[in-house]
Amino acid sequence: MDRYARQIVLPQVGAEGQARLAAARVLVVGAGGLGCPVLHYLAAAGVGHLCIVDGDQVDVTNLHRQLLYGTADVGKGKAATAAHRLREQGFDCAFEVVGEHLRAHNARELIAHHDVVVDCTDDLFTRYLINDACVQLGKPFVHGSLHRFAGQVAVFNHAGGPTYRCAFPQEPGQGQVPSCAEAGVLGVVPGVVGTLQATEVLKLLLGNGGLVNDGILLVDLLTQEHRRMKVRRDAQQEAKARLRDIDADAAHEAVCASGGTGMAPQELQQRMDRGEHWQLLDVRQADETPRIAALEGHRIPLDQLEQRAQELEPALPTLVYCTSGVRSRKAAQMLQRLGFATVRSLNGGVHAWPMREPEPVLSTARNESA
Amino acid sequence: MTRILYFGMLAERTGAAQETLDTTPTTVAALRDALLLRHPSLQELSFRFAVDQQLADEDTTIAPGAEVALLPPFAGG
Repeated sequence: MDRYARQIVLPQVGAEGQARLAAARVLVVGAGGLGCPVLHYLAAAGVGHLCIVDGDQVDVTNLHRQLLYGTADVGKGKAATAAHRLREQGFDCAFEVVGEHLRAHNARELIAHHDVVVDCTDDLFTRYLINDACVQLGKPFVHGSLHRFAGQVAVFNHAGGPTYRCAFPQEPGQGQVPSCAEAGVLGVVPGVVGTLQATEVLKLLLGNGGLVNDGILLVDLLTQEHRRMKVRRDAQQEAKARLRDIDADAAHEAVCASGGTGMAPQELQQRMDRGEHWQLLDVRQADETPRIAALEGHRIPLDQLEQRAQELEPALPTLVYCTSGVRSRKAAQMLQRLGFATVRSLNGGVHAWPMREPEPVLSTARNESA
Repeated sequence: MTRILYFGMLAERTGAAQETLDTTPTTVAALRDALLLRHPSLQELSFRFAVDQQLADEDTTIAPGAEVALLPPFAGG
């Protein structure tokens, strides 16, 4: 126990608190900018079980803020790489790796087996799913999110406090709220916000200290002005979360998956060679390269797609692509929701398009993950 | 006088993190109408009003000298 001597000596921790941490099971959703500091501090503090959920791979643009990863990790799965790095440090912690995204089909199962959920995701779709599953299962979740230099931290659904829907009842359209890839972020910002989340998780597990469970802590690291906004629990919003049919969402996910939202480049090439007409849509920003002559078609950045979808023909089979296949998958899901008949996303994006192109340039590769 | 604070993307759309209104609409709904006229680009964004650091509803009254904040959800992580 020497390892924890400096925290056991605290009256708020003690031997009993340390035992509570050792017995705790924490689910960390997202191992990106927020997830890295959350995982690192919780493991170091002696939390007994950490489950890491992330389906993304490490991208070189992650390295300025996701400090569990190094240059040699680029292209490797985040969840497994984070667990490997943390195991190397010899923490007294069992790590469980889930190398896929939290979705309707696995959300309830994963959340049910943990005491606390830490929301380190970078998309609102998953955030509402975490909220709704936590409300249904009676679990608290510690939320963190950021925009440029500002962050939000809150403990939702705990001790009669508000849920995420009580704060933001209106689910914004995908792309309406920019992610780090779109808005930019200074590396320390998720470091600070994630560290605040880890602090709230530890206090929650210890049962000590004042939690931000009655509102949202808003930190602005550009001005260093921090505020706490109170949020009331809203019975109507709680009911909305409680009544959501997550199994039906999972069935819809399965339909999308079997209908194949994804398409391999080789399959697209063969289909085009057979003379099939596909409406091609590039959802990268205007300045992103490489441009692929064979894939030239519509160009609508993901963040404008919801407003500009009427520029497209919903009856035509539509193939969406981006740099690596992440944004295009989101775009394909959005177009399916908007009623497009057949939508597929190019697996691996333009990175995976080697065919008949003189130089598959990998410049200005952008990354969509946290 | 009402002090209005804009957070996140809202500050980028309005071009200022805060501004002061000389005339004070007395409810959140009235203030929303006034601000959307002043900053039409806010129309398409999702956000909540907070009056004196408490998230407010459309019919919440705004006392003279109150601090009003417009808070959007953040997506980044």
